[in-house]
Amino acid sequence: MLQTLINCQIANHALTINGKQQFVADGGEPEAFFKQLYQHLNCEYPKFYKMDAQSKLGFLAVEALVQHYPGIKKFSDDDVALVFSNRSSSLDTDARFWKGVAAAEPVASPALFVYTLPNIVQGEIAIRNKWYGENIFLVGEEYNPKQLYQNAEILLQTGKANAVVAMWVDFMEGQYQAVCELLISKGE
Amino acid sequence: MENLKEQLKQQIIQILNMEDLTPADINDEAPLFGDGLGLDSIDALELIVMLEQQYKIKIANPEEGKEIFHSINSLANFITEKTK
Amino acid sequence: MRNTPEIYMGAENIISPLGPTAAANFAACLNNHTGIAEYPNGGLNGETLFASRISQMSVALKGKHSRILQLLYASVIESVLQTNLTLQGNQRIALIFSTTKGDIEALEQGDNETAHLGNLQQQLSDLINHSGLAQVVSNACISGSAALVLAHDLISTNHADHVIVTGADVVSRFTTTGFQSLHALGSSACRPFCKTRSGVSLGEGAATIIVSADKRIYKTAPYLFLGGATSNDANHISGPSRTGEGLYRAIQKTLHRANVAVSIIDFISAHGTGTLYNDDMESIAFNRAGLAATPLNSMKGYFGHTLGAAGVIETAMCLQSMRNNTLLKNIGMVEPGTAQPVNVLTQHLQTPVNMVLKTASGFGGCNAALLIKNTN
Repeated sequence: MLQTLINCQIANHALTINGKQQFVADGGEPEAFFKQLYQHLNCEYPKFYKMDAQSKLGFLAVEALVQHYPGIKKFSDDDVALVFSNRSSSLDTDARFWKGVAAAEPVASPALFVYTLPNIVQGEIAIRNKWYGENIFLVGEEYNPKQLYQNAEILLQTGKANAVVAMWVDFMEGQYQAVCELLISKGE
Repeated sequence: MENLKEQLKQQIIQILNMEDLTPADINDEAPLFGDGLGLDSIDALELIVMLEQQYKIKIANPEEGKEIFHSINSLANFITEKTK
Repeated sequence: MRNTPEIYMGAENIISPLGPTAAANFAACLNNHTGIAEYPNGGLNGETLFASRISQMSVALKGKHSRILQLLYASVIESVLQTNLTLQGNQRIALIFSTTKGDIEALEQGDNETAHLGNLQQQLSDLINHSGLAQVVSNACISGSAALVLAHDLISTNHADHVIVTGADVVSRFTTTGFQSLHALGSSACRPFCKTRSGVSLGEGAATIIVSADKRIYKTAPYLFLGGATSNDANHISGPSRTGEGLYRAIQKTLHRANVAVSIIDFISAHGTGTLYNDDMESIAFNRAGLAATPLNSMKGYFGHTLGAAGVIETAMCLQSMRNNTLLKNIGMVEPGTAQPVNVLTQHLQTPVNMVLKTASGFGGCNAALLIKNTN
């Protein structure tokens, strides 16, 4: 059985924590909103700007989670697992990279290529928070919270983790959604 | 040479997504990598692409990049030499 | 947690330029064949590249299907036929598919929708009549190993009785130009752990392993799967940790959970991509873990780096090594030379193989380790 310690969502240009809206932008492109949210959260982490859109989205969701649930820092650096999922893998960035390669004068951008894997967002989050624990990225047909919980629960049941940051994080052609939860076993 | 340095600063800021910086923030002599501007190995590879795309200079071995990209000055000097 | 203490792996298949079955691949490697060949004009601007590519794709499926689906289907079928499993209607059989780029050729042709990994998995499930739990693991180069570890965990937590773990990736202009942009491709066929190594050779292929709580499903003896673990370096998204921290922790967790002492490991199937940084990092992690003297190889000199398929292809080769009481030499290396010394196999070695450690590392700072034990 699982217990949700906190729920963070970033969708429709808004950050919502446990159902309560914390920040909202008026409009504009998603990445402009991400920049505003980054500033709102006072991240002070210039590496943010190098990330692709999906990594920025996932990064911000976990930043918000950690800020609103500082108790997460009580877990040892081996104890927090990252179980992420999405539908689009890294296709948004893949298409951007491929555009350069397929151009009349081909250009292969290393800064884009390193983001053409969906699990890179986990790397960014692990680096930021110094988390060395279990990490897995699963790709599914649609947002399926039940499946995400099952994968999180497996790590808790086997004792491989004491806390799981479980997140659906998808960015594709301007459409995006991040739903991030901190999960532990009930009765801990 | 001064125009080139200014141009390089703008290009680096744009290509490496350094959104919080302006050219005035980059000192000509300051190390670009490590503690200086904090660029990393991927940034170095992007700069190699920039050299080829914008300045038509090809660097075959990324190891050469360390000296060339040490600072704005070293980069500007390198480009000036190569385009003589 | 289920009561059955033992989980098995077996019924392995490999499809690569070296052959369409695990046995054929092993025999080819034993004869020092490699799938890696030279491709003039393979690069972004016409450079010569080295890669392991399947030139003659035998068509397993009628109709127009992507190369990767052909590989996956053929691999899964050949594997399942080595068991007495019937997929149709059996909800206790799970499927885990590991891949980094899936049908990337669809993206190259402008078809983003088909390029979705879930789409490919569904096509495969439909073709093999599988309707149980299906998951796609896309975790860079540890995908295959992580998929196997997940399979073990699914069974031990009673979410499945049997898991088909299948992995595949193809060599494409997408990945080739990408690795080129990182200056990560070698100037020759890859030379893992070699003093003069210069980078990766990409490879393509598919492999399948069946993980099960029930020994009796296998037509040929399976081996004991003692589980595994993943860890993150928390250091850099594309460069490995200079201290091998993530890999070291993955190994430690794996050994500790299985209650296995370092001294009884008699072979390591390492990641060994042939880049300066990766192989150095592994040598450091293995030394930290007390594995400096343990015989090891990388299979990438035979198969190239098969990305999402690597963990499954290379673990299948571990099973073949156990079946044949033979450890394969680390092909491609001229002279060992890593940051710390490791015991690289320079010749094929006839020896009983009892406890095998498989490791993998990937972009995003991820690392995986798993243990296989002989049942003899």
